[in-house]
Amino acid sequence: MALALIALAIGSVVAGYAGLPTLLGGGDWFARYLEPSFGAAPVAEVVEHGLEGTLMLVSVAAALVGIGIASYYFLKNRRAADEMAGRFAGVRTLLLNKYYVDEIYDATVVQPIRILSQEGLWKVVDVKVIDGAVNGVGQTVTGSSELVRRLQTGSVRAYAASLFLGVVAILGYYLWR
Amino acid sequence: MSFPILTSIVALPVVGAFLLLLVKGDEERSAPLVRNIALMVSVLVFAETLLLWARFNAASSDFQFVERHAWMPAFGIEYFVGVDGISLLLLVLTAFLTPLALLGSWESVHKQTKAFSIFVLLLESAMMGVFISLDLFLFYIFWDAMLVPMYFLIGIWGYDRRIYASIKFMLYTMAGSVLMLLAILGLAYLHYTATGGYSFDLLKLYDLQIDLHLQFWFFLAFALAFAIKVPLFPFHTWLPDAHVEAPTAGSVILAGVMLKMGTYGLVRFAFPLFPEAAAYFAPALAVLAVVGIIYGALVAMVQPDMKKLVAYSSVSHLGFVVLGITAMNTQGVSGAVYQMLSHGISTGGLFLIVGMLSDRRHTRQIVEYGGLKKITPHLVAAFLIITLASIGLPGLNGFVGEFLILLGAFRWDPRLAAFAATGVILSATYMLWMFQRVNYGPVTNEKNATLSDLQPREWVVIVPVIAVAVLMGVLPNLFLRPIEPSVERMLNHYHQAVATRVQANRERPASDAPLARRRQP
Amino acid sequence: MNGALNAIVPMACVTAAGIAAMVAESFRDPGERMPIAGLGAVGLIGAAFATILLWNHNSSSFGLVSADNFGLFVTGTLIVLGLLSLAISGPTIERERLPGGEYYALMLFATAGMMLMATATDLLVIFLALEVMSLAVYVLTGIRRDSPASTEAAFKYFLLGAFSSAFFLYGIAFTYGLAGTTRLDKIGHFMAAQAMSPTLMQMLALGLLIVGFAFKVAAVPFHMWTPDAYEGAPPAVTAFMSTGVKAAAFAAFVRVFLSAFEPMRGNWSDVVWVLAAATMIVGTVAGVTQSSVKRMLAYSSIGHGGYLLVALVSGNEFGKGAVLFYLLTYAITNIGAFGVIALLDSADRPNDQVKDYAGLWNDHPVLAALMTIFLLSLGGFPPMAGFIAKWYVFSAAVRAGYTGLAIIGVLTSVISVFFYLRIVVQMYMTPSDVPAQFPAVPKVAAAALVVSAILIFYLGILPTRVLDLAAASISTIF
Repeated sequence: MALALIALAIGSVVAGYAGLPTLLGGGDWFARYLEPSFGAAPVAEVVEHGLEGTLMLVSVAAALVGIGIASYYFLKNRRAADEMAGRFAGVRTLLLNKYYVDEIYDATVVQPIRILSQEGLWKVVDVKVIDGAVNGVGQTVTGSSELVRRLQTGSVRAYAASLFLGVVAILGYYLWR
Repeated sequence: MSFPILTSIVALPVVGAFLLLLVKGDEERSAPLVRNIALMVSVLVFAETLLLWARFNAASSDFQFVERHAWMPAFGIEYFVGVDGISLLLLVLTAFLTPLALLGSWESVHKQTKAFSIFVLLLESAMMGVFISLDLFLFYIFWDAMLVPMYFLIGIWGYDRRIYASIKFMLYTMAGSVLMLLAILGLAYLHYTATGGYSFDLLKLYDLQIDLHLQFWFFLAFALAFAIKVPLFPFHTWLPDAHVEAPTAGSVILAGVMLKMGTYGLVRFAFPLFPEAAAYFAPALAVLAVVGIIYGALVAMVQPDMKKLVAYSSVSHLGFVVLGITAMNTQGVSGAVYQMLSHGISTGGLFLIVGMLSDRRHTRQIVEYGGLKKITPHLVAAFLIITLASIGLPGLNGFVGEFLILLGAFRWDPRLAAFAATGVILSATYMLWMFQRVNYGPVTNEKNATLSDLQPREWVVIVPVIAVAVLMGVLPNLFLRPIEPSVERMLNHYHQAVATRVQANRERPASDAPLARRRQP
Repeated sequence: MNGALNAIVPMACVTAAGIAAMVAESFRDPGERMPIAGLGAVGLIGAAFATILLWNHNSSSFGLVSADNFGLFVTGTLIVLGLLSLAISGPTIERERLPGGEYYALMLFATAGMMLMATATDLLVIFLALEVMSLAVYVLTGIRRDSPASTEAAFKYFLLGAFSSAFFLYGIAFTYGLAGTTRLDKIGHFMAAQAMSPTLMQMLALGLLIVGFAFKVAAVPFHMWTPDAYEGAPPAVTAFMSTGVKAAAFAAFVRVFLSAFEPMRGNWSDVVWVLAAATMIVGTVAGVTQSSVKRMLAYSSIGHGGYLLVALVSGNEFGKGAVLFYLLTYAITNIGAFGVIALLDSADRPNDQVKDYAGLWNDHPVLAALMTIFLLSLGGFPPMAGFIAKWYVFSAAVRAGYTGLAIIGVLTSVISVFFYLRIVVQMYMTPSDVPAQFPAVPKVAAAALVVSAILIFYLGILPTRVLDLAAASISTIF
């Protein structure tokens, strides 16, 4: 792991050189290299060096302050760190748990979706409603079949009656016409 | 080309099946011979499809290797086959997956190996036939014929609820198909009223201009049959059952190839034959597709059974394909065809891996696994690559198709594309979560501690899949080049038809439009 | 030889064979084995030669019987199914110790009656043929004299048949009263003249004739005899009955209604439409929950009759050709299916329940495969003949504009697949817990079944020649 960090550290030190802004004496080669891809209209070369310089200074200062505080509390004066932790226990826990962002996500997004999908979409919609409709078609046919099956009573008289009914129906239709 | 290569591609598996019939001897002695013959035949077919690809002229949008013979002249039915950019690679995919499916089943199928191999070969033949048919009658024959071997494969060699699953698969698919049958007959009749002769020739029927309200019904009949096959939400419920209960080879072929027939049918038949009706229904289909994407993904996420999870993931992924088709622009349709191929590879691979796991443990429940990375690292590595391919990681095949589809969809309707894009995230969710529970973490079930890593046979099965997945990811043009001209041609025909109809409606009242008319070429 | 008798030569061959069978039987000592079935086969083959020679000749005997191509096609179908039925009857006769000579003689006489019915061009001759055929079939149904189920089946069939024949005869009487003749062509002229304003009597005549035919083809609601009769008769007889009677009856039905009564189409087409729809629906739905295989196939036969009615109602070239082609494929397939049942039927256990078929694949793989082919063809799966036949019928319906019937037809096809597949499921996917008690399979019968299966594939993949024959048959009378 350390090796990886060392490699990255070296890289981060030198990589910035490629885009060193003109303010610090570089040629801003990287931006120019990318120009053709973006069809950049040459912006006024005179960028507000003031703003650029201020931004550079502020960001570097913030980084240095952060490094300073961290090295004081964790390298030089360990006990002061623990003291701080004790006094601001609540804040510390909050920060330690990354603002509980993961847990919030889990509770508000992940679990609801999961439960909705499992109980709602899968068990109700898919199994009961959609598949229920499909199986329902099958059951309707089977049900009708049971009904029709009972008509076949085995009694000749019933059969003859059915035949006669058919005759009456057909002749009746013709008589009616 | 004087050698009827397309017919031989369809006939060769049947010949192989006959050869297998001749093998004598009981299960013990004949099984090895049977397996080897079946494998050889399917590899031979694959070689033929590669030859077909090599000789295919990628610049042309016409149908190539066409064979045309009169079959039932009284009806206007011909034996008319041909291949174009859209169907070519689907043929190769089918031929590629079949030997892998057969090889993947060597461990799991122990009874009636001969019959099993025969059915797989017959299924392959029928599937090839569907992709090359240019006569609607011939297409329907292969389409229906495909159901019988798959029914037997699920019903005999499947798992516990196999009988329910196989009947459900058969009847559900047939119910959709028979209405398509009537529409086909209607089309032939319309051709007769327009030109005086019956014909089922697809190319001639493309030129037929059909009265709008008839077109609606025909389109719906065709679209229903294909929607059930895809499967499009809400006609998808046969798929989880069929996949879960099918044996590994059945699942690989079902997911890898058979589902593509639904989407192929939309591209080849439903949209070009009935352009105006298609344009009218496309938004509705697109909405169903997007619902399927999200719904399929969400339901997949909570499945405890790995195979069911992959089944629902298919519903989700194929929703993308349908979305791409409904966009009816170059990116959308090319992306859809590309995604058909890549889904075949990645889902085929997933089922092969799940099959390997279930060969070892005889269970597909996720809770039964855990921490496999330490026990079977090679298997897990292969599993990882296929999973990433399925998610659509750039560099692997899934990305290209999904990206093109989303691009095409966005140009058509940005809102749908936005919703569909969430499907990409969701697919990562369910796949990675499943992968993590199965492979990472501690070994929770001691039965897993003694599992064996990839056998040589399994290496042979999984490495080609991974290789193709990577190839399709880094060299997509290799696969896109043959597809594009045919897609362009189809889109031109489609957009032209829609435009002329809009024009005609402005110029003339609808009442004196005849039922059907030959389109001005 | 006086050419006037040419048209009845096929029939005469078969009748002669029937008489020869009876005579041979009377000379047979008990226990002596005589190839009486062979005699029957010779007669049928002779009839086949006559049929081929008479093709395209349109010869007519006394204006009463006309050997036109239509009739000859049906005669050919009857010969094929007669040969197949003879072949599968052997094991049944041996096993149940049925009176062999009489059995064959009756079968041959029935076939002669069927041939007459298919080629008759006069209503009274049709009735005569109907009775010849029916009486022989009634006796065949009850030929297992010591089985009460058989006797009951025969009795029911006979009673109901007599009942409906009365209606049929009444219809003929009315027609005669109207047209002054029973010759179909003259009736046709009369009807055409009257087409503008049909009288009540004409319509009643139409209705009564419909009833008569509907009974014989087992249309709903005249079908009630079918399940009982098919179940009670020995399977080999059922095979013969279900196919031959339907073929002959439909041939006559088509001939009468699509030539003589064609001008009155507006009056009978809606009635037949309702019959077709009801038959398809009831036949298929009722079959779904049957546990007896024979009854299930009986309902399936009723359903197939419905499809034939659809073809009849469509009435165009496609419809008429479809009737012929469908009858042929249905005949071969149904005989095959009942043939397998006949072979599996053993003396002590009828092996008729669906669950008796469990695990057949392991015990008798060839029979199981054959049965699968027959069942799939009945269900209308490509590449089998049943698919082409249904395609033909639905083409006719769509062409004629009967889309509603076509939709009912295809949907009931899907439902029927369910009960055909149930048997397949049992054969392949269910292990048998009781050890197999099926009798051994005799050679001739098995060969007949294999030939049937081959024919089914042939008709399914290369049907052109037969389709052309069917199409050529239509032009001769209509």
